[in-house]
Amino acid sequence: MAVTSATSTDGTSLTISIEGRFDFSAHQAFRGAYEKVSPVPGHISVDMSDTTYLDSSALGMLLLLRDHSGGDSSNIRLTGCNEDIRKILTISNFEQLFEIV
Amino acid sequence: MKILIADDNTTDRIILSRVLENLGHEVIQALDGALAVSQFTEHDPDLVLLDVLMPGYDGYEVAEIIKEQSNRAWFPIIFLTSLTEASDLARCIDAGGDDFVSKPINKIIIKAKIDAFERIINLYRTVAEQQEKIAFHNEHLIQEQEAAKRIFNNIAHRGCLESENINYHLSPMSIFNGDLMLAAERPMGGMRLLLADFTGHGLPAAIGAMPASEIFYGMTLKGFSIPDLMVEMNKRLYGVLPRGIFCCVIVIDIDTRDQTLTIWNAGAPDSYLINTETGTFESISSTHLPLGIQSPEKFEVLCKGYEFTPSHKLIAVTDGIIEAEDANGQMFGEDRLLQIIKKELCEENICEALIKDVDEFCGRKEQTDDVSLLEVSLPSITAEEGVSNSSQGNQLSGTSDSALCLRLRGPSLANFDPIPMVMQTLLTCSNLQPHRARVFTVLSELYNNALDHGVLGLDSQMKSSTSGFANYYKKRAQDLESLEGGFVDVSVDHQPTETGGKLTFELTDSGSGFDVERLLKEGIKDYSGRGLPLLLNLCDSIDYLDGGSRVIACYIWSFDEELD
Amino acid sequence: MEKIVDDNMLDELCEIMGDDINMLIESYISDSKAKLIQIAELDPSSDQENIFRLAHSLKGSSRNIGVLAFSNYCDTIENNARDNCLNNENYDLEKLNGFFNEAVALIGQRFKLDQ
Repeated sequence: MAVTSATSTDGTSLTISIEGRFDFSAHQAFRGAYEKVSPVPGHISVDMSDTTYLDSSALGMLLLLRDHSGGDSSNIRLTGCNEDIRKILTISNFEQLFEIV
Repeated sequence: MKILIADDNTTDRIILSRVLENLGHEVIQALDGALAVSQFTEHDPDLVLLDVLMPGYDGYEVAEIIKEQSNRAWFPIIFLTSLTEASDLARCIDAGGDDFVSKPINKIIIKAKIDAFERIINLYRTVAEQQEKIAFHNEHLIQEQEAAKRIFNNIAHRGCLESENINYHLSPMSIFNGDLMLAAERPMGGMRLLLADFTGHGLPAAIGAMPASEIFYGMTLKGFSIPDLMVEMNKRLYGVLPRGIFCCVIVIDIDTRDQTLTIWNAGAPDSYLINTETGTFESISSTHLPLGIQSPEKFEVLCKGYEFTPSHKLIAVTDGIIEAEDANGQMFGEDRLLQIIKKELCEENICEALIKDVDEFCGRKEQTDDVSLLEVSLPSITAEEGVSNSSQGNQLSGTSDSALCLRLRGPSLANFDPIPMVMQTLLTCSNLQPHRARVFTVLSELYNNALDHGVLGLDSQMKSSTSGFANYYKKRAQDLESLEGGFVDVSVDHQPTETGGKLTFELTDSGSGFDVERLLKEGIKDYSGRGLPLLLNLCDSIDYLDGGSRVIACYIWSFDEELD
Repeated sequence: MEKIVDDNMLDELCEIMGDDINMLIESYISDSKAKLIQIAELDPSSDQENIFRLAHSLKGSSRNIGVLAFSNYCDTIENNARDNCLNNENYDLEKLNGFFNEAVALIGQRFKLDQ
């Protein structure tokens, strides 16, 4: 598991990438990736093209990110989701909360 | 450090002792192997320096005895030797030695080796101390969990989960895995079941389970519908759970009399509705965010209805079974689950077969700790009479002499279910408790007829086929949502009599009525959707007025009546 | 010609032992003398095992004291005894005692011991 993040030069968008398993072990790193960015960027992408697996604690972490970036008014895209991950997101109906592309 | 030296050579022993004493160590000297063993037992040194060639026990033998006797996690033995053959040195290590020092004695080498070993000894000591602390805390934690489990089990009790129509698998410590399984008999007969999976483990999950369980049993007993129950549960969990912790849930109502099943899946894996006669099955997927995420204002529950005959079965699981891993980290997966369900379709106990397969797949017993599995079939009708917990005697209490009128209009018909409220009011008369299930059935049949067939004008014939059944409920939900006009008047009159009491229900709806004559003449079979046979059976009289848009039903009850 | 006694070794021993150096030296000498008497009583053709042990022990302590020539000859005897090939040429007790006495004389001078 490795979490990397990049902020655009104008500071308005943040991309967090997760490599490998996205589970509780990513907790600290994932939180660190968005909490260190201030002010909160208007657009946030979570890039999961290199994510192999996602469990329920990862769903919880996504909800924390959503809360941190304004809850219902947040703008978060989940990108590069493989079929398994998409399935887990769908079971939980997370497409109601996140833009899954 | 306390160091034991065993060397039969006096000169060597004297020099080595002095070198070690000069370094600040406490030295115990042994002149031969046998003495070394007894000195070891007596003084419990931190380290032993052993000469290889000694009369009696030689160094190798002493090393083996000492390693055997030592109760420390690791006990260092250093051999002293002027032997130079590689095979001799190798034997030192084989015999349990951790290192060797060549003679003649070189104080610098001795110091370096002893210092290195002292560091390792300290490391082991620290680890041992920490392990002891961790073991203590762990012990403490387990005790606390056991105590907490007893408390939780009283609140989040299993209800009627042991009923014969249910097979289930749930770890005894499931509460700390975040899994919760509840079952209750509904006041109108049949059953309600709930399978919940809180994210995370341990205390946070367990704490969420408490309000969930209380709400489940409280509201089910009072006859609230699944949507009402879920709205309330979501509201509470949204309030108490921190962001990031939520609850996936499957909630199921089984109506024994109608042989129907109503289900709502929010965030849990697919449930499977199996027809054991035809060998077919249907997946019931999640249609909603889990509980505790959506704010109460946005929360909405749309249940699905299915036919549920004695040849039907429902299997519900949490993600533990799908995510169970084998030794190579391969997951059990949904496909495998489905395969086994297909294979064991007609087994009496699919649950058992599935758990056996998960165990075999994982190769380790403890894996199934995280697995919660529920298999349910149609309960027998006799299960439906509630247990009487009424006060004894013929003393009337509460609303034994009362009348209650309520008119629900338009949107309120969609948003409010009056039955629990009316029931609660009626049941303050504790003498009515034994009749709870019957009164509930009468009231809900009458009200649902007035709303579904009266106000909404739905045709009960729709329910006669499986697909029609689903359509019926879909249409009902749609119609209710867009409902603007219409009303239902509910009035309940309760009068005491010499032997008990008389309940008169009068319901009027804004619908256009129906052909009462035909219903009564042509028999009841065709109109079974309106529950008329049941009503006629339970009530002392039923009268349809105003072309079917008004109904008056009387239910007369007596003290100590034997209910079958 | 190899050295009879290693003075550096003795210096270091003095440092280690302090005032107890005489006790050590005396103990070494009496211990070694006893072993030399024991070794003289053994038959090299039948008792190689015990000769090996005694030679090994003498070698070890002598090296620690810095008695070089003697300890080296002990080493030769030890090796031959182990290999079961002691004979009149490689097992010379007079030579052995000679090395020892030379060393004791030198050490006695240095530490002013009563011989």
